[in-house]
Amino acid sequence: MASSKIVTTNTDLPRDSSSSSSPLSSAAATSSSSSSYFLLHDQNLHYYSSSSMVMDDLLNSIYTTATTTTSHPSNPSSSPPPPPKTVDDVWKDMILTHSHRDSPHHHNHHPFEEMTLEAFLSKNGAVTDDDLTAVPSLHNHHPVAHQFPPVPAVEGSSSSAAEPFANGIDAAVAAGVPAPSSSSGGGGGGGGGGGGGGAAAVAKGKRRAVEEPVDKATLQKQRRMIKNRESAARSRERKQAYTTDLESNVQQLEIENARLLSEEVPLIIYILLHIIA
Amino acid sequence: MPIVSKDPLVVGRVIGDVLDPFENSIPIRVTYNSRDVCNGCEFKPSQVVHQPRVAIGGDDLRNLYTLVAVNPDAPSPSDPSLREYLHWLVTDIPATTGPSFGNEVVAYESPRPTSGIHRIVFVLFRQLGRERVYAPGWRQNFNTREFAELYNLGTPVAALYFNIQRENGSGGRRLYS
Repeated sequence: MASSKIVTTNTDLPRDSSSSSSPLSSAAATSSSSSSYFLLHDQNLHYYSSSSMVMDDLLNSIYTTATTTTSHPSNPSSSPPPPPKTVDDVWKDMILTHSHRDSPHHHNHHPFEEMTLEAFLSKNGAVTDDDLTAVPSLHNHHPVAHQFPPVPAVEGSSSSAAEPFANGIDAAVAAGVPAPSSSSGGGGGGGGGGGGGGAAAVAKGKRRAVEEPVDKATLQKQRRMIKNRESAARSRERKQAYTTDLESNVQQLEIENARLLSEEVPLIIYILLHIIA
Repeated sequence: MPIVSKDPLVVGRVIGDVLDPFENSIPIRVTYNSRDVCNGCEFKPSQVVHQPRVAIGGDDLRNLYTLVAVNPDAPSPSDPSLREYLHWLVTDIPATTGPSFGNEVVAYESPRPTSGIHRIVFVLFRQLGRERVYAPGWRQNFNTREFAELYNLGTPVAALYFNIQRENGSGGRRLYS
């Protein structure tokens, strides 16, 4: 029972552990595969690296209870050692980011959550530069491909007036740090680099935190300038349209006036003649 | 960018945003409280509260016309997500008369822009015959081109537009709308 529970919650894992296999091997397999899955996952690795230990502890604890009472339907979320909420959150994020890869139109729901998460993490130095560039560029752009956006596209997006705030910041972050193109393959490399670059990440993260407000302000100014330009262009258009309309009206009225005047004179003569005669 | 055309509808981007180029064949005159609407002139919301008097030209009383009034700049010209907002829709207007003789499918709604300077466009179509026109479920995101396509109205025969902004002007920042 316990092992089957583990299987159902681990639906995202690449290998599906069958419930027919013995609880011991399946639990061990799932725990090992889950931790490897965490490492292979190319997004938000290091956030989960800490919680994968939690996962392992959790699974081990479940496994031990499973061996004692096989029919005990222990709910993984209710197991004591790690607070259940963390696990659920981890799973939620995992599923979110997993569906994130599959369906790009979930992008819109995530940016804020993940951005604040990254900002929080970068400040705490838990995430390296690679990861920071990996995630923002992902939900910064609507194209399905999880490639890094070329810099002109980033600039194009920042110049569009209706760009939401979060994307603009991410664009600055992504543009500021040269985007390595090995993001999708960078999972394994990122895993290795994450541990080693921890100390460097702290310094870089702090520096980025200082740079971000400056970029924010610049971006905001840019956006405001562009909006202002568009507004000015519209205003000029309006003025010109009104002027051309007035000019055409004037022209028509002049023509009619000339016509009426030209017709007026013979009429007056005609009337006078009839009055006199 | 030099604008070659002298047509105020083109310069004001009405042709482009709302309509395709057409030949103006029927005179139309829209009057709010004895002030005529000319292309690109400005009205205040207080002046356009009630529906205007519309006089259309033409010769034959048997020809029926459809009048549409839309706002392509809703809710804001810099972000017209509700383009076009339908303000008025009257069908079966006989030539030389006005909308009061026609069939009001969508009642006149007074334009009340909250941000920016909006255009209100009046478009006149000639109908081929008397046809049942169904009101759209909502006023926003109306598409005049599609509407004309749907009811076989062809190209417009007349169009007119004016500008409108908030009563107190659009400049400055408003903390509370």
